[in-house]
Amino acid sequence: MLELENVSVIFNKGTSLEKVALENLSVKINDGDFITMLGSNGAGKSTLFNVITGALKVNHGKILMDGEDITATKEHVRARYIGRLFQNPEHGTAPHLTVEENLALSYSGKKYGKFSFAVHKQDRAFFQEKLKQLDMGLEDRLKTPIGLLSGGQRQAVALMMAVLNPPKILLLDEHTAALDPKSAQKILEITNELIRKEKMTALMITHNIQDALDNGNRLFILNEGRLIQDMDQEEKSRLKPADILNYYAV
Amino acid sequence: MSIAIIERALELGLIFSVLSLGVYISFRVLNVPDLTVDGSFTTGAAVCAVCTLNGHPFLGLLLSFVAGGICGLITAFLQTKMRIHALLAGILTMTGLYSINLRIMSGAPNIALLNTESLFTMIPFTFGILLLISIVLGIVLFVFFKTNTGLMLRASGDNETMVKSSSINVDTMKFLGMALANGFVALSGGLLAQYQNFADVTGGTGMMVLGLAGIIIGEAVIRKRTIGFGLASCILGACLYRLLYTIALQFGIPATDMNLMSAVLVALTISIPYLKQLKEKENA
Ligand SMILES: Nc1ncnc2c1ncn2[C@@H]1O[C@H](COP(=O)(O)OP(=O)(O)OP(=O)(O)O)[C@@H](O)[C@H]1O
Ligand SMILES: [Mg+2]
Repeated sequence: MLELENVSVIFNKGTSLEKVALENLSVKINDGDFITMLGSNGAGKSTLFNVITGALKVNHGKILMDGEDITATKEHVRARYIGRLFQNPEHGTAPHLTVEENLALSYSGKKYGKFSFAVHKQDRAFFQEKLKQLDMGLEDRLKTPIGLLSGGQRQAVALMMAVLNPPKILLLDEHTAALDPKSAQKILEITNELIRKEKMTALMITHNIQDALDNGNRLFILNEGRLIQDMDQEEKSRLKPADILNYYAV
Repeated sequence: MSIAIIERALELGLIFSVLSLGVYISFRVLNVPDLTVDGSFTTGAAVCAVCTLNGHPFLGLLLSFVAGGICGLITAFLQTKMRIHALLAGILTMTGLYSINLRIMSGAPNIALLNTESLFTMIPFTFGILLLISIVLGIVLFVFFKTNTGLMLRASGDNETMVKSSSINVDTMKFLGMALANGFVALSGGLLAQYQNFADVTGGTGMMVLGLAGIIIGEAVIRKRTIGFGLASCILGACLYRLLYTIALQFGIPATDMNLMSAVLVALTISIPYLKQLKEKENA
């Protein structure tokens, strides 16, 4: 579904600060893949996401979505089929809007049109039902400004928002890293469930090796802008956390 | 203070409440301090005065809104397409508008509207009509902010990172928000010109801060921060500010000192949360 062909990203090209963040990276992501991605700090993982979403322009190479070249497509246009979740829960939701308004933001525009009211009565029941799945009591707090919720709760809503209109591909950038262990586990469970239910393709960056091994059907390891490992389910299942550390030492 | 003085203060307050509504859109909703206001307020007054002089008072008000909208579009263009810092973009537009405003006024520094029909000569209930205008505009904005487009606009100011990674075009939202904000500002200028039978090329000076002062006073009284209460704060605050202003004048404070008072008021109010923090640290 998503293909990257010889993608390179070079920051501050031609200056003494030149930094090759992605080097001639080619990869093909298949429909229904749930890929976990490891790599040391600065390996280029977030940069790879930025290239896929269009937040960053590539210096070389092409990006294809279902065979169509989207290298020049603007970020907000790609966002119709690419969903993204950040590490910082504050990045995924608008703090002064209420829970229901945030949900409506990613749901209602497409359904009712630009100049219709954003939150409809019948949607409230639908939102409540969705929030119930999170099991955080959020279904009773539709009218709470989201900035008043905890980080984990905000991240859960952000995740819900990302999948209300299921994107073709979901990008998760350390989306549980800022949460306490329990919330992190919970969000990860919900993530798995949503991906399965909506049959989404997903990429998940994490620094937690166990999470990377336990989730998904494919594993990427990035190092210094290059994809040094691309393992399928079988190779992945044979790995132990200790094996992975070797790849970090490079 | 006589009833007549209070009534006049409230009427002016209602006119400036439209200004505060405009500033609210840029300052609170979009989260940018927009200095276009000092120029676009005069643009509204100038356009409206010229039309009124030519016998079209209602068209004048409509066109002042449109003209203000165009001013906002220019600032938004500088911000988004030319990547100029929001504050500087506003200052540039404001500076350029000074020349444009003089051209609209055919080079004269002021226009007097003597013996011309205006909104206020045609409808005798000045206070009533101004109250109606202010409340209707407030409600229209409230409804708009509850629509999908309104929600996108609010989200753009609230969390740009999020909106950028969504399918909303942030630039489009900035164009829309700035146009709307300055449309309201200019309409306020147009109303003031008809009310005072007078438009002056320097009339916009300090209007950004004046609009802000209205918002801040309103927010001090109405503590709720939802969009509905926010808009209500603008209207109430602008009227209260004008009453305070009138009282200050009664106590002999010269009108020319009022800009200083507004500036100090806004500076203090905005820094109160920080000053409180400092104090808490000291105590700890
Ligand atoms: N805007 C930028 N300008 C210059 N260099 C950048 C920029 N963004 C990223 N880089 C550099 O590119 C490299 C890759 O960064 P990236 O954010 O993709 O790393 P990452 O794999 O996500 O790391 P982490 O695990 O710490 O999040 C780093 O060396 C970083 O310093
Ligand atoms: Mg990163």
